[in-house]
Amino acid sequence: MPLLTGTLTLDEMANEADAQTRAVRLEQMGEDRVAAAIDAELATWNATVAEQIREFAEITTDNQRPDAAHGDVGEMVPLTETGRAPTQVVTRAPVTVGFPLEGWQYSIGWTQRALDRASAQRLARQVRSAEVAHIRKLQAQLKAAFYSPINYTIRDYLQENKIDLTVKRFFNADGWDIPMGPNAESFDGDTHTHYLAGLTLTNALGVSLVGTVREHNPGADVRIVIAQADEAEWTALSGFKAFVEQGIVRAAGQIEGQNLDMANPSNRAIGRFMGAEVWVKPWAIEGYAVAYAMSGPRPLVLRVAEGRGGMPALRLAATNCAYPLLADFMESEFGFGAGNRAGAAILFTGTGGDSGYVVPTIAGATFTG
Amino acid sequence: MALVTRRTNVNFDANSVMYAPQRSGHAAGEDLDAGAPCYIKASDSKVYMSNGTAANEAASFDGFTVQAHKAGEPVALHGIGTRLGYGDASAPLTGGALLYIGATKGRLDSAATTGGTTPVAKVIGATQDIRVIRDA
Repeated sequence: MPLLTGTLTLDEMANEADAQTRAVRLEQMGEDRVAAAIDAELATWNATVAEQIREFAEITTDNQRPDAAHGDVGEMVPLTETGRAPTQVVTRAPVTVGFPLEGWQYSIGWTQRALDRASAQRLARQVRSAEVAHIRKLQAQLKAAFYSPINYTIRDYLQENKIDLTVKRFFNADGWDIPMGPNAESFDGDTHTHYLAGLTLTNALGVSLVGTVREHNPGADVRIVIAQADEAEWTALSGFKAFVEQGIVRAAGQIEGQNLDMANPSNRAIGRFMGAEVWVKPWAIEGYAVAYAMSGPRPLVLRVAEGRGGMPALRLAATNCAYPLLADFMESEFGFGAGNRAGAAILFTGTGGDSGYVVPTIAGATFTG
Repeated sequence: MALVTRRTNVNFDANSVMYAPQRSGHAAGEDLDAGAPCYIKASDSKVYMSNGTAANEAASFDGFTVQAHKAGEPVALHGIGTRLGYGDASAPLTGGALLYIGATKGRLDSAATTGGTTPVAKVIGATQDIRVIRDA
């Protein structure tokens, strides 16, 4: 979204649809009540946002964690009546996954005279605009964390100790020491990738997508997220079983007991594929399907700043006043990283998919590749 | 040489205007557009929109208006560092371009004009905002 550079002046308020004589002015409400109303609104907003994110991201203040890779594996030696097997030791270099913390700011400018005459509705509109910008930035960063396969290094620039953090994506053939599967399956870190691709969506590709998550997360509840534009393609797959609108008699292959949400077509579960619930989400990218484990460690980690109540909170950080101008600064600090590198897989289908995964362009996101 | 398109609702960044040098206490000698490069005329101390048609006093520069004013109203002109939301989506500004006083009063040009030989503003990156880069 482009910047909306500007300041609320008397000229801006002359463009208002609300007549100033009808609207409740901020000066009538009183400064304390206005501040309390903003605080309450932001608290509700932040709680709502955090709740939505917890579905696929663990929220933490950690800047990095040690990896759970297994290292080399020894060998069972045949037993003899009098012999003793040689001792063995597993060695591996300590490795960590880093979680970025980036700061974002939304500034609202006023002239003192505009503020004196502004309505409560006008203020609410400014705060609401900051909230929408906040969720859009969260979504952009979330999308980068899911859809970009490219690891990167970022300096922890909002901390006293500005260490370099190595931010990892899901397994991307970067040589990582991948833990064994539940049945002692081994994975070659140099070639094993969770970023799959094909020219067109097929049942086999969908099976591969779900299997890529399940082989590391046995028994996990898997969810697939797709864009609304891809819904028809997925429902046409032979392995897809549809949810149906309430009250409609189920035909063969349609699922009993789960109704299709007709009121919210851009954010709803539409059926199951190979046991994974398929969801349409507004943040999903057309041509890409994300499968992630719902149980066990979340695929992503959302790092937040300390002292923010465990949320990527949007807060009124400061007000700058140089008469006759004022500026309010709304801020939020957060960053996504892959906490469970085996916890998700992404499938791209479209032009170029026969040559490999195509990294999408994600407007508003940093470090996409 | 071409006049750059200016949006109808030019607005300003309060953060930069708080701290940028300003000249106030002068009256408008004519109707002034918002986002117009202006000068304070030596003979009457009133503010007029700069015009690069000729290399004369009218092509001089003392700051930008951030609001429109009617003749006779008090005016504040804002100087180096001021950030304005200026460009229009119908004819976007070129990222990083230097802008000069245009040969139409109150307007900017993408190239030097007869009177406007030194740039007064610069497009900020790939945005449609400009920053005043010259003081009087």
